Amino acid sequence: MLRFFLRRAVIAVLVAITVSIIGFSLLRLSGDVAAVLAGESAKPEDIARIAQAYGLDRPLYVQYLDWAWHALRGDLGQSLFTHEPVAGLILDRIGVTAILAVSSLIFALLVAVPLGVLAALRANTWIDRTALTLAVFGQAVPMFWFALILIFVLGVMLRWLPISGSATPAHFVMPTITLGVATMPAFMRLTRTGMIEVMSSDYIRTAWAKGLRPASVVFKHALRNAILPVVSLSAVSLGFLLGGSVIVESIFAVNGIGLLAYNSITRVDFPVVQSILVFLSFCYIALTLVSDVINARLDPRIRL
Amino acid sequence: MSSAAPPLLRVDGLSVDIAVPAGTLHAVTDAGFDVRPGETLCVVGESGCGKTMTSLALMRLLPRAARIAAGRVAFEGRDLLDLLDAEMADLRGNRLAMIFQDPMTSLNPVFTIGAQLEEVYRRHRAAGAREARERAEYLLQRIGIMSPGLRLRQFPHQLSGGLRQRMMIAMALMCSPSLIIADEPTTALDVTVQVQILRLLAELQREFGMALILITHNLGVVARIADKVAVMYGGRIVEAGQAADIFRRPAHPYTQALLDCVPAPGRSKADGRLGSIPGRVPSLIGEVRGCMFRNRCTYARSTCAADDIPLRADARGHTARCVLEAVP
Amino acid sequence: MSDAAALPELHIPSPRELMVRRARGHLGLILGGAIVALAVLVAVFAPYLAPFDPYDQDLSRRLIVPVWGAGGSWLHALGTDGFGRDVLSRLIYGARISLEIGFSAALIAALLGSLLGIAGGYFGGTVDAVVLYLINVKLALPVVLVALSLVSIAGGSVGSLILIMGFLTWDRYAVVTRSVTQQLRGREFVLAAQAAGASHIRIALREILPNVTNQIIVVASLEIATIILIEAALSFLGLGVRPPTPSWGLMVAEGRSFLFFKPYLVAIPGIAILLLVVAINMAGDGLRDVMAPEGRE
Repeated sequence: MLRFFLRRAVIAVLVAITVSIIGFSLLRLSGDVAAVLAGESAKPEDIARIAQAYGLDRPLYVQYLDWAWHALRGDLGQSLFTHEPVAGLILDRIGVTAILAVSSLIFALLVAVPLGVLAALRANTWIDRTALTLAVFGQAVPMFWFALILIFVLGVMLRWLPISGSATPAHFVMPTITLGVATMPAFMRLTRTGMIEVMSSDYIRTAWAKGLRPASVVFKHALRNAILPVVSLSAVSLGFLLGGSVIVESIFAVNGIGLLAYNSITRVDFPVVQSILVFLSFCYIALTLVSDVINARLDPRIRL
Repeated sequence: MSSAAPPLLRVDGLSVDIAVPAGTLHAVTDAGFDVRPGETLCVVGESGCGKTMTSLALMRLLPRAARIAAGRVAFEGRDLLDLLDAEMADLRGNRLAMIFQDPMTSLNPVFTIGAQLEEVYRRHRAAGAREARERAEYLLQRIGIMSPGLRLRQFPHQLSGGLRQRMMIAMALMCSPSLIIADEPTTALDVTVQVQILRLLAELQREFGMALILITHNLGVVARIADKVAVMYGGRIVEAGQAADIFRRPAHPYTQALLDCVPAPGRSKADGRLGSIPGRVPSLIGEVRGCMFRNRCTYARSTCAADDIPLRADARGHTARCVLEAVP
Repeated sequence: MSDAAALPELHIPSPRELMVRRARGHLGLILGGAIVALAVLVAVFAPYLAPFDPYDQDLSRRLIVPVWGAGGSWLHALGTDGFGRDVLSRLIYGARISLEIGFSAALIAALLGSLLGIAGGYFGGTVDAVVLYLINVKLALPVVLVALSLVSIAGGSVGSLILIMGFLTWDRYAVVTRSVTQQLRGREFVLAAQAAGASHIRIALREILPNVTNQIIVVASLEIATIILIEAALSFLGLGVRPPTPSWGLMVAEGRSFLFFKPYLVAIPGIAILLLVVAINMAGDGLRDVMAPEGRE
């Protein structure tokens, strides 16, 4: 077990380093950064001076190592726009995005798992077809459009919910539903396929042959096996949700990392963008490791 | 085994149909046999002859696409086919139990052996955890398993195939059923382990007084432990009777052909060549008239295609469904 | 043998027969495929089908409602937008944008991903380790954010969008082809070819590729839908296709300011995206059920 995780950890570190290099180089691709900083009417001497001030005239790998060195100490630089420390900006907003991501995941699971089990037990009936249709629509509906529809119906016409901001829990309802609806289909299908497969397995046949009651066979024996991939996908999905909430956050004006990233991209505030990119990637890498650990804990076949 | 006592299990006219895209597949047609308390019945036949479907029908564990088209299954005085699902569930694992072919996949990988054994007992006896565990340990000891306490805490993947099959047997015995159905319990195991498992089954059967229905395609197994034999082909029982009768004087050409395929001292021909049965099993889809074996039978004649092939029986209860009076 | 009446023979269908049989009964494949085909036709023949020029502004005819609303007419069957441009025409040309980007980016992603996947699965060892590492790096990147950043650097031309999406969605192909190639590598026909002295490239092309193509097609058909959705989202956020190009996502963004009084401007392009993606997904699922049912997860 230890060797397995050591190997995974080493790969994770390598990936993390690569991602930080990518994040670092990404915005330096946009051309002469110093020129952008200097502004449109700048003269060559101004550009050169700015380049020197920001250390942009040094070789690229030196700049990277300098940045990495500071990053490991928690210094992610300053926003070009507000001059606040980037680390602080991220920490201020990570809570909101995390809440949104977790509640969306929970919402998705609460809908997907029961639906998936039901669809599997009644495979090829109208119940199954309805569940699959819901999954199809969930996967196909554009998130930004669905958000606007929700705003129109629940926010404007019915006036049940606030349509902008992140002040109260009620503000999180529509964003959660939007993200949840997009996340739900994959879990529903996974649960359904898993249950169908497990229910036709030999050990479930044994469970029936023992005279166990249907509830016991389905929930204790079958679901326990079918849920394994769902659990590991959950951890990974959390990673996606953290990174993929840009659209939802910008439409609902939820003050999280996604909105910060979007604003920073449009303002070409590259210290913020590159830090967020790297931060989110690290979260994802960490979550995949967590997913592996959970998997190993839940499945007795994956042990020492 | 008093012949006056009513049979523990009597099957009458059992037919199982499976809906397939091409029509209706008649997996089992008009099967009938009985089993007395403590008796061993071996159901023999090639793959696809309907023996597994028959056993699943008895337990009412048929796959969704299959249904029991006709028949009666009288067990301990009740017709199993008439029972509600819940009533049948009360009997399964309790009065009648089943052991399946592949021990590698027949145990739930995420639960310990102990949990799976104890759960049957607790389900049917409303017993507590300790009582169930004691029962499990007792059985493992009777089966000859070392350190039962340790084994009960292990997971299926940690055991060998032979050990797992013994666990399956223990699981079947937890509630002392009067009938055990074993579907090819040794086919997936090494040859040396096969013998051990069979011996174990026979011992336990004698000790616990259970009846055993053993399904197999291996005539060597049959010769070892069968009291009675039923030979199946194409979903039908073509011959049935006491094991000794069947081996000495097979009354159906198929049985004779099967026996010819197996080398045995005194039986095999002098030139040492083993027989084989030419041709292929016919399709079981749609209505079929006449004898299923006629396209591969050496003695086939025009009457074999007729609708009702007579069921010949002799005084000892040796039956065969064939137009021939006796196999030459 | 006697003259006994014949017994019906046992018939085992060939793989091709099975495929055709599955395809004929598959409602999803037929319906989805029909809609996708229709969309492709609309996109290809856009200049002949669109009643107006999608870029033609006419401020005197702004915000006319569709034909089913009060004051609507068949002249502008789906109404006009804030600049007086005909919605139906923009919708038709929008199909072109979506499908062009979708198919082209999927092609790039398929080529890149399959190349890596087959290489990793076939050679194993260090090559495979590198491929896995690349896949992991790609997976760790938040796709939408990276896409947004790249677009802000490279600009929102259709060409750059195709390249960006292509380079951000290749991982699924790599995973699937790698897995299949690993399984095939040990099979007899590959071993036989190696024993006969065939070069690696020859084996890859002649033995492995044909068997992997099924899976690639299935993955591609589902990834096209993903790409269309991402493009729509990027355009909606203003970092995708540049106005005045008629991307459906952009149309939703432009209609947003009129959401409360003229909701059709948001509803219509959104429904178009929804329908196209549903159709692609249905067709893709259908293809998978027919061609590679073992690939179901």
